[in-house]
Amino acid sequence: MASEELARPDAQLHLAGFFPFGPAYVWSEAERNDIYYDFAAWRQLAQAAERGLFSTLFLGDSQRLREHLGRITDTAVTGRPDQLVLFAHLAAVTERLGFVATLNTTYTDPVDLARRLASVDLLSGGRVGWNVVTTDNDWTGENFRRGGDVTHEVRYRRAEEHLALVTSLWSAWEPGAVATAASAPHWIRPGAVHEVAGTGSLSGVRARPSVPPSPQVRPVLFQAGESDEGREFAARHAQGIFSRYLQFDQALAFATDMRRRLVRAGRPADDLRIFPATRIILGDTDAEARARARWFGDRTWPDRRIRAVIEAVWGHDLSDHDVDGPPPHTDPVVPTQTLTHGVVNTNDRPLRTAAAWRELAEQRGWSIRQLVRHLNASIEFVGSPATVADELTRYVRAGAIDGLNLQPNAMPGGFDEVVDRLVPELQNRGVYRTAYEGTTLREQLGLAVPS
Amino acid sequence: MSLVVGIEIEGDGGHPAAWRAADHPPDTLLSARRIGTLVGELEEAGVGFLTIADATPSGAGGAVPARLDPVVLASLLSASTTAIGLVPQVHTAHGEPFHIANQLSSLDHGSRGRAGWWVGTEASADRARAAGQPWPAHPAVLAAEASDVVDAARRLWDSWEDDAIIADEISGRFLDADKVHHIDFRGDQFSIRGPGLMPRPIQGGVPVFADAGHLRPGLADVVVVRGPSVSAVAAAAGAARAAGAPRVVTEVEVVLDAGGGAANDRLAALDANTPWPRGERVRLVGHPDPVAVGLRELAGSVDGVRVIPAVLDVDLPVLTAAVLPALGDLVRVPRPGGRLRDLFGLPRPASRYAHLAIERESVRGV
Repeated sequence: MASEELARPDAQLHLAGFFPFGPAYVWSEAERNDIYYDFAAWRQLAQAAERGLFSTLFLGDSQRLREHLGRITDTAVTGRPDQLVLFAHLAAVTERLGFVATLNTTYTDPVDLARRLASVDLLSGGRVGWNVVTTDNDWTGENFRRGGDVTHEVRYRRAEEHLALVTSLWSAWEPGAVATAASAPHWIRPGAVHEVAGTGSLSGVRARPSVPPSPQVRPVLFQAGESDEGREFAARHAQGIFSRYLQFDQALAFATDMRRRLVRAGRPADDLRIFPATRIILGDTDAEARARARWFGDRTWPDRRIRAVIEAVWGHDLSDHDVDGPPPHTDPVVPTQTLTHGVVNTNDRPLRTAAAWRELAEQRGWSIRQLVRHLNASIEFVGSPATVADELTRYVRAGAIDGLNLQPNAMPGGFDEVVDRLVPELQNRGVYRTAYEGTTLREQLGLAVPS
Repeated sequence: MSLVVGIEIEGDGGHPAAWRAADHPPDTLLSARRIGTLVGELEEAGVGFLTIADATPSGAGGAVPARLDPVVLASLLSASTTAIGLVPQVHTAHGEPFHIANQLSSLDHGSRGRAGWWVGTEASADRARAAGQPWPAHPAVLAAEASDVVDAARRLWDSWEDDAIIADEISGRFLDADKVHHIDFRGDQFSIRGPGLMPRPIQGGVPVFADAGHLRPGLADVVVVRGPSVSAVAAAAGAARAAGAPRVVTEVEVVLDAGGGAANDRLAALDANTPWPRGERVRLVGHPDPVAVGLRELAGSVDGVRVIPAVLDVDLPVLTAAVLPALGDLVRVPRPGGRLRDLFGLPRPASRYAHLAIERESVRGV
């Protein structure tokens, strides 16, 4: 362990404000029911993040509201503003904060996506990133002309073709070609904007992009998959990766694996920033923080939400079932998961999942509530600011993480405590910036400009 | 009688040589600060709405090839303004209607009810190729598609009833799922299951601006008519109203005596560089007073104008300092926090799905 502590003596922690598609909040603490969609609330969050020198905001995505037993899921906040519309608005009221949008390659037109991202990147002075995802889901495709009946393999090939086309569009303006005076012979040097052609399934696409390069040249690419395929994609293309590995040994193993893959792909080992997702719950003392974490967990897991997890697997209404009793003894009624999307993913094997959950609950003597809370437990940093700062310092110095994808616990004040109480402790320990390093997202993340 | 005044802000102005007369160097054309300052001045002057055109840049020599996504730009501007309407042009051909609807709904939320949609009809070969099509679809197909895109977007905006969010911690329900609806839209070119990704827009529906006759009846809130003269516009406006247009606007190209030059001389100089062909719009060229008279005449037949200044940096200061004041009370000035629908006197529509909830109530009552 001692040698790990020295692995990265100068490493700095990056904070990213993270918003999954269906976040958990204590609704009664909010000023208004619809505050989660209010740009003024987002503005307050973004400005708090910038005050706390966060590197970026990061939004998860879904292009269809989640459904439970054939109806719109009602147990969590659902839906959110279009990410780039939101980011353009927030770019106008911040100066250094980055913005990473999760946009999928299956249901977007590459020329349109390239232009929208480049537009926010240019207007924000180079503060945008793209988390590249491939939606493997016909259910989402029901909202789109594209991608309705695309096979798994075709989606991944299309993702590579899509990304290749988008990055060529972002490189199609020769630098320094625009006139600097109205007396120049041309607005732009003739021939300095190249026409770009797609390949493979996009080989019919021809386009001349209309947005010049931003100060960071082009948006920073991120990736969020943890499969072997996803890690390889990240090693080839991404400069940021979002993960779920936060238990110390797992986080370190993931980081080590990714650095090896980068080197194999011919890149420097440190050309990638790793951001696991978490929450931070602070208190004056460790005991108070633990009490607050319990309160938050209990309030965000009402019976209906607990029951929905079980219903998603069993495939039918279980409202007559006591969540403080054991899981149902019957088997799921459906052989494949068709009615529920986005609550639990059983990889279409609900019978197996149900059997495994029942066995686990029997072994431990758990009720439905205890089982569901266990299954959804995530690693959180809970403690006094000093305790949490010490723990995070250990992670960063060991090279287990580069940053945290931090979910706010409330809207819009959810970052305030971290900014006001934790950030100074991290700064005292020398693991957190005291000023932004530059103006672009690439500079905040200490990344090289891609060739 | 009143007139809503809109200004088109894309590029350096309507004239293709406008960049040569602009106040800023070409390489700051797309700067957030430059555009933000310009729009702040428009809002200060009482301009009702701005439009942001979206033409696919041609590869032709001499044309300025730089432009931003109009919805993204409108959203940036929503953060620094409180009154002016924000009306980006969004084309219907090739776009994903689900994305378009969500983007415009988000813009309406972000601007607190100031979004509009200028429905774009471009179907050029360049645009088709950018979408991977060898050539544009048949005009009849494009026309049907345009109506379907707008129709689907309106249904998506209605798909969350106004009171769908309940955030009831006792029952553990954030939404009333009976009040969030699948739209199950089926058109020839696409289908959409829904619902939309956001609560209902602040305005209920984002006002749709579309060319006369372009959409099926009932889909446009503001119909755009054109004509080369005031009388031609009046005839077109009358026809549009007879066909049921709730509101009517027209487009006006404006060149003013400005910057120490007479309007006609300025236009001739710009045209010598690159000609600005006369289209089917009214063009008013000259001293602010006669230009104001021209606008006053138009106000007799239309509810609003979309002014296309020849050169933004040169014509706008005169427009705001001399032309708008000459129109006086005729101009409908937006108020801070107001909605674009209010400016046009358009009511907030009820959701088409709201009656479903009433039917449910009566079933329960039985």
